[in-house]
Amino acid sequence: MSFVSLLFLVVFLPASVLLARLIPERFRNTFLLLVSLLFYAWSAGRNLPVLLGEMVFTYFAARELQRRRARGDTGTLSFCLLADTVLLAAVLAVYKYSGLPLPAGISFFTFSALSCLFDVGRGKADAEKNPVSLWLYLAFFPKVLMGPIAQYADMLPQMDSHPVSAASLERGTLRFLAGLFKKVLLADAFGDAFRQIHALPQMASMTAVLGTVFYGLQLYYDFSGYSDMAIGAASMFGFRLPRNFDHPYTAGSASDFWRRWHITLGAWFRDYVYIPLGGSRAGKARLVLNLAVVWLLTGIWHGNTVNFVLWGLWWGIIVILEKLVLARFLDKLSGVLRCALVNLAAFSGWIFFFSPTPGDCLHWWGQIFGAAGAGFWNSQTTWYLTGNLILLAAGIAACGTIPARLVSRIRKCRGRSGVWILAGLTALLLLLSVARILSSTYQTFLYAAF
Amino acid sequence: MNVSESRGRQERRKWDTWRHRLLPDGIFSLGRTAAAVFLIAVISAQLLSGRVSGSSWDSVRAAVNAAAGILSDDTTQAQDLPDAAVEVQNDASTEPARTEGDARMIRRLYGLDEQTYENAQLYYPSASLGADELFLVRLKTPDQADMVRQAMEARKAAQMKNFEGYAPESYRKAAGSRIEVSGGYALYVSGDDAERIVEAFRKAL
Repeated sequence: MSFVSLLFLVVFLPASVLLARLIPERFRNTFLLLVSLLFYAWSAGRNLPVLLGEMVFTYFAARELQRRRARGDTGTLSFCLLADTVLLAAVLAVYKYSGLPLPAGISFFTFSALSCLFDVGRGKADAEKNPVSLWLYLAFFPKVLMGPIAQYADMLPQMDSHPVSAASLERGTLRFLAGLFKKVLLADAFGDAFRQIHALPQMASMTAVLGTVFYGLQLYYDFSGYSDMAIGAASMFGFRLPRNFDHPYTAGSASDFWRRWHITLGAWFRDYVYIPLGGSRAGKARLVLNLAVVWLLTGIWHGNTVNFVLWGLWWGIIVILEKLVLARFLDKLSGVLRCALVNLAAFSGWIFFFSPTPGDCLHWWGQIFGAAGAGFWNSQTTWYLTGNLILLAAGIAACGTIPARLVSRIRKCRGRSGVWILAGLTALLLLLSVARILSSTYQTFLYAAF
Repeated sequence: MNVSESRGRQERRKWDTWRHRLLPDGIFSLGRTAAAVFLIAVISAQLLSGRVSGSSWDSVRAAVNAAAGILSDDTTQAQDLPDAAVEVQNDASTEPARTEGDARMIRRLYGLDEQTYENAQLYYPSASLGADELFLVRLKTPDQADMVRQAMEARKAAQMKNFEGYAPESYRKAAGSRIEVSGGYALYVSGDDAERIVEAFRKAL
């Protein structure tokens, strides 16, 4: 079941929110766990045993780590933590690399499970004694398929108490709708435009550039849209999930970009890999090694093809160069120029993402540099640009803070007129979204493949 | 402290009391081992059961078509494109090398009946001496894999025999054609873009 299916939007989510409010508080987590398992079974039924297995394993493993930690048995504690990590990483690796169909959300719920074990093993948080609370943390339906990857120590206090207020319900609904608009009206439209260009056997340089821009915007609105829907849905049940995107295409440096793009994955690697390895405090050589390890793992996490490894290395090299060499030069450039350079690196990197093989990647680069012999700009370019001009303008404008400022300005309108204008706009966008969902073929979320 | 927090603590205390009564400490180690064994068993069973892909027909077909540059309903909804768009597409490519075939053509070229597969899509050579071909099948059951593979190999052999001696370019394409049977799907592809299509097919599964 997808977040953008009518079944989810009209039946599953409203019914879950309503029933969760009616059910006594002490049974609420149990209800949400059952609803989450139903959601997962509906989305990826045959892989439910994998999720259940990881849930049960994580509960007992965390309790075992807690027991050893309480006894001061640090030697066996480290060994157990290592063995647990190897097992969960091996499960993930087998699914990613053996050719078995990838269970939906396995990269996300496995990282949540590892977060729990690391936090308990290192004494950052206690093992949750109530299995329902821990299992809900792992399988909570808004985040189980595509994150955000909430860290265990941050989520633990919410598992006992997540009161739903009118404000959280309203906030959640608006956030969910914002995500829906991003996915249905922007991401899917950019996806259609990209697929048309990608299907061309040969193209002019600027057509290839336009295709790359379409894909970059599709990916951003697809994943940030999903994240907004997840955060919004969680808020309807009183949970606060961490932010996953913060206007990444307005970043002023590569490091800044990664503090704004898929924030929770970056934070996971920072807290559980980069800092334990020594971070930036152990000299320049160690810093380079640590960054290389983190970016290699980030690439591998995304997929089982060479292209994702190359994409990880691409960002690793850029971030390392920026930290060691380029930072002092970048500081002298204007904000707009720095932002343009970051976007050049980001959009170039997406070519690794949408190309199935390094050969296809080189082929696309060849098209950008005119290897197809179709020139710099031709009638195709004009057609695809003019045909998608409004979409492109809206997509670029919405990358920044323009929508938030616009909403804030409308809210400040005299009397209740601002509220009515916003309500009207929301209703219009909702109508357009539903119309598009009904009229177009279903398009899956891109990050569901990871 | 609000009411729900204090209730949460009470719940915890209650659970601790019950846990101490019911569960000895060794249970955690035992439970962890049992869950690990369960996970390994699930994965082993899946590895042994033929790796049927969870990907839908539409997504696999769309990925393969996109790699082949075919405008199908799933890729671009070509029928909805205005004339100008179609012209642009036509400008970009010369005469399409492949033409869509129906169930009758599948039966003629591969000997496969409609009842033997769940879904299928065929693009056969547009020209009589052409060798560009794409045949994608979703099997009804995993045990059909061998039968469909044999049908595809027979087609490959027939095409090579047709072109041998007087159509070297088409012979090269037919000889270099690829057959992939995996995850409940089968693909036969012949043409210069075969490698790219196979990669897209594998990735889509």
